[in-house]
Amino acid sequence: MVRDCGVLVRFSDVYKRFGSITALNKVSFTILKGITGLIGPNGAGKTTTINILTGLIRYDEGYVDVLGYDPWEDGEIIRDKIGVLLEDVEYPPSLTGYRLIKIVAELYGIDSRDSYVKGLIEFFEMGHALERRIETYSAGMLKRLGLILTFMNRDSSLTILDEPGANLDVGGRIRLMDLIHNMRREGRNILISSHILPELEMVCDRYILMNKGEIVDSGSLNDIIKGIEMGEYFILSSDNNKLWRQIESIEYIKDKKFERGYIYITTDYPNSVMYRLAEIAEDLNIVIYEFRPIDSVLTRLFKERIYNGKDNISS
Amino acid sequence: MGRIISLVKLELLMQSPYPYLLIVAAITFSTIYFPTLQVAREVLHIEVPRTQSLNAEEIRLEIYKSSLILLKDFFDKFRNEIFIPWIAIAISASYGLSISNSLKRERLRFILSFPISKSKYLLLKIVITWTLLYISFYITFYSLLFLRFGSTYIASIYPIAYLREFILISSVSIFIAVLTMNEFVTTFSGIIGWIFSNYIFSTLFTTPDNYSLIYSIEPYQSFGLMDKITEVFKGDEIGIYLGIPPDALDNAVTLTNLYTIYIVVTSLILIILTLIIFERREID
Repeated sequence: MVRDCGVLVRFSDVYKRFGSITALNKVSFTILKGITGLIGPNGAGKTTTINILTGLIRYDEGYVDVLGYDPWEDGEIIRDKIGVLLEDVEYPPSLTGYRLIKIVAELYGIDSRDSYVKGLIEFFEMGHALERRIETYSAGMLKRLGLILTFMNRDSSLTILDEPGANLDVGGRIRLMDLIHNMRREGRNILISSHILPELEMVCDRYILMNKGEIVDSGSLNDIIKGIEMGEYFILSSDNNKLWRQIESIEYIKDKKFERGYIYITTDYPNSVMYRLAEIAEDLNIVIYEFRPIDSVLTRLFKERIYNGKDNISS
Repeated sequence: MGRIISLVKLELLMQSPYPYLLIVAAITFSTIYFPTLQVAREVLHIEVPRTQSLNAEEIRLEIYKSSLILLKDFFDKFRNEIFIPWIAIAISASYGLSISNSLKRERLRFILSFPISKSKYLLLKIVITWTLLYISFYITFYSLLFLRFGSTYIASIYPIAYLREFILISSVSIFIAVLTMNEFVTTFSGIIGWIFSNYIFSTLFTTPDNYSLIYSIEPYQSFGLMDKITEVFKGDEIGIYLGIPPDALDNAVTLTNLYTIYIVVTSLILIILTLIIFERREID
């Protein structure tokens, strides 16, 4: 059962080892109602965490509570109360997409002709492919099928999505984020593990930042970005050449460069710079189209906390 | 209940045809050219003569006795030379293909996205696979015997006579398939398990001599001929022709029943162990 305090999941001092490798090292966090982003580089322990949450693997030490149950002992009960999109799954290749959707609908006690299911199929633009065997699907189609199956458990207390954006094209990702937005409005609870930080930033209420099997930080965006310097900013105006010649006159700019027609600056006082830029643009009779940090807030957080400020993110 | 029906449907749709085709091929190949199968037809079509001291009747009685002896030879030969080595390997290989192969990580992660425990899913899979394999085994065997002999009696009874072997070989294969997840090891597990379990039975529950009694009366028990045996063979004849001491007949029947219980209990223990092991397995 979901407790009144809104805590859906509680991890307390959890350890998980695979032989000599410690995948989770004294991990503690709580997942509250709303949308939570689980972020971290490869090998951070995100998938291990999700595997523990869904009862696929056991934890070695500590305490885990998912919707009031121990996932390892009560995996079946928990999976009845959640919807989960796992990575590395093989759907039955010889079945058609529609046949699989029909059976999964029966599993959840709903009719596959239900308007909700039809809506999901339409939303993920899979209607045209459902009569085909799953073995003929592309990676993107398999992901969309997985998302439909996951969201079919409409009564779930928590939906867990492990890398939902992987293999989706831009359109698919936008649709996924739209759906999560809608579900957020409906009061659904979702845990998303993803590498695509700007997209997470648009939908998440809270974040859990992991690295090397440990929790680096967790909380709302406001909580976790305190002290984060956004560093480099990007400027695009109707005449960047003209603007570049005036940039010298702006105080508080620590560093600047002009590349391929774009202006990049580094400052610790973006508000003051922005104000001064507006004045210069007015004088020069040009329009500032964009003045924004190069990185999204989450990306910057990632660079600061995971890579110690280095710009070598590869994921 | 509705959920179980949906999972059965899903599991049936996910079944690969190859394990069942393998069983069909193995039985067809093993039985179609097996000449001693002819013997059964002769035995089961002869009426037991009621001797009236007529020579013709005595001759018919002798023929009937010979047929019963041949039936035993046929049974022994088929089990020892065809069923145990080849069909047993085919049964185990079928479990290798159906269990080991479909319990791969990615497939399990798909199944375990849904509300079912690992042990329930495996039990469901075992029941479905066992049933489909036995149906394949029975129907193929039945068809071949019927085509060969034209007797529905032989065709329907004979495959059932191997149910005991089928159960034990299946449970050993399933245990090894889940334990090792290796098709090759599973293929040879059934026959090795069969030999090993028989060794344990003959060592713990009886003596090797008494153990052989089980197989001496098995052909007649299978075809419901035990009454005819005692009717036709008198005195020492049972010992001479069938290798059963007359005073051991009751003992042999008791031992056979004990052996059947042993097989069923051993198989159940193996399946329960398999389910426990699988339930505790991590799917990472």
